[in-house]
Amino acid sequence: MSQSKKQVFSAFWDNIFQAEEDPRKKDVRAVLGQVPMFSELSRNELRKLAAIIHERRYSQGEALFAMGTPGAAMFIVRAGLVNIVIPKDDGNDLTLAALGPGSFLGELALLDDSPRSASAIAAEDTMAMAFFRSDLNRLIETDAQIGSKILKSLALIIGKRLKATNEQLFSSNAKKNG
Amino acid sequence: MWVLSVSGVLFLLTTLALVWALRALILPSIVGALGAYLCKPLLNRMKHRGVSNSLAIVILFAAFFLIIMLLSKQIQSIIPDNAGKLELRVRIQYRLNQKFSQILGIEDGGKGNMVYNMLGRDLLPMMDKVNSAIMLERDERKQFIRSYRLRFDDSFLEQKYFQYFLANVNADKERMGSRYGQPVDLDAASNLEGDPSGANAKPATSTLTKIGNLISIWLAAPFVFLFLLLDEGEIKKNLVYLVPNRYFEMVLTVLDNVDDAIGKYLRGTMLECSLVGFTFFVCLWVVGFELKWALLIGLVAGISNAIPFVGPAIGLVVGMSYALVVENYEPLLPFIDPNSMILWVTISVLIAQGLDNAVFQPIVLGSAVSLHPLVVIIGVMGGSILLGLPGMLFAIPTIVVVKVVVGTLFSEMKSYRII
Repeated sequence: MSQSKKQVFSAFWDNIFQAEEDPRKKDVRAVLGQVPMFSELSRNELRKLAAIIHERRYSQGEALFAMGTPGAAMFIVRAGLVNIVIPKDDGNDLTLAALGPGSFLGELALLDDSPRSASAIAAEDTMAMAFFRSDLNRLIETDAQIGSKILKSLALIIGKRLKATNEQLFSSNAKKNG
Repeated sequence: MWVLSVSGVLFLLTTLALVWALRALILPSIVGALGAYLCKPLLNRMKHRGVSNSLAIVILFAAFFLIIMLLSKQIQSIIPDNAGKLELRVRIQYRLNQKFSQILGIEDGGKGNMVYNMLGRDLLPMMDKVNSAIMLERDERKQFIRSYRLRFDDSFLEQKYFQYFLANVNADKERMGSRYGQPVDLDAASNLEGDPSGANAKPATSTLTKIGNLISIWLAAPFVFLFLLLDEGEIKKNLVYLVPNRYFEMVLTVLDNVDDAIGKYLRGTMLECSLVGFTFFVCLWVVGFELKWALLIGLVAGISNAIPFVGPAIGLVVGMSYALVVENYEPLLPFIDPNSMILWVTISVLIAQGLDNAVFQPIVLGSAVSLHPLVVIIGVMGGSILLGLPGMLFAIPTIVVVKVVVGTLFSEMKSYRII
């Protein structure tokens, strides 16, 4: 096959079967790749995940979710800053953490719809990505490999947090006892 | 502000006009979307078993096309031409009168039985009306005679259905007296010009055009089916993108709950209707119906079973109509008497409906949405008034969708402290 024919064939093939990926989707895939929960996923698996992720824009002061409401999605901060706060009646909300790009929050919502334990408020104009429990459940049904990798990472993250909490509890008890 | 209002009204009117202009595409699109919706779990199951997405979609698409083609071919082969329709009317009228006379005990000059004495006065005028509705008009009688002479040459008078025709003509003359009009001369009728099949050139062209239009419109169904199966959540994502941040999580939760409930209801109903149709088909085949007719009547009974209360009656009427017209049965079981086929059709309907109520519904529709019987009756009647048979068919699924959407929306709005 001549070079020109090869080029035409290749362009035809690419046009039908390997169309150029949308740069925005590529970008979403890149951000997802940096999140520890999705670190085990391959490039193709990240592409599949990016297809079901919802992108949202929040203005400064807008809530991603409110304490006490049922959790349905985990959020990943793509740009901006999100404060995790416990609202107080007197208006002096208690800020627990400030999360920047690449951080994730509300991951327990991937397991069940128990009420959120704190609120998440955009501290500045923020771009976030939401990953829904229903989508994860569907992924487990259709693409068990991706689903099991995500669940395994989620279990590791929760395990680490439990370990850290136990250590904190142990050290505070040790301090109390002398 | 008024500019916005005027633009909004104009936009709404344009959208409505567009929907009205393209209304012919609505039904094929619904069929395609419904097919895709019902096939989605199959696609997921195939993907779960390691079949690639593209291959699974190709398999489902081919199966969808094949089923639609086989069904339409089967239905087309059964639909009679103009001459066939005239013959069918002659047979229906003859057999109807024969059965009626038997039931009332007035055949062969009989004086009538108890039924005749009790209900004869009411039933005879009703039967006259039925006869007037299905009897052949003068031109149709000419057409019938001509087609028989051309098909059977000189032996046409000895044909069974021609004997029926003559019996009908005599009965009609007796019934109508002077109102019957000029009788048709058998010899003169055969010399008339025209197409022997009774289908002249003009309707043939219009039928072709109609089929062409129908095919081009119904092409929408497989395309809708294909693209909805190919969609990996992009449509939902684009819709949800328009939702304000405050309601974002709640709307997605509602969508998922609604999808789950409606999916269960529709898939359950489809499976239940298929099982009822299949049971009816098997029963009719066993009692002696021709296989292709048993299949078609089973299909009609299965689809109409989706209409509560009215559906089983439709199956019964279609089955009885066939039992009334056809005379040659080949029952698979020796004790089935071909002369009491109407009774066997009734037994078939009872078996299908009994199994439906005792087995199919509890197993298949167990956890799906349930509606109050009053809502079902008013829904079916309302659907019938608004859109006729399609309205009856789609009334209950529409009510189920509205019930699930409203119920889930309220409960989620409370959970998210919006109300």
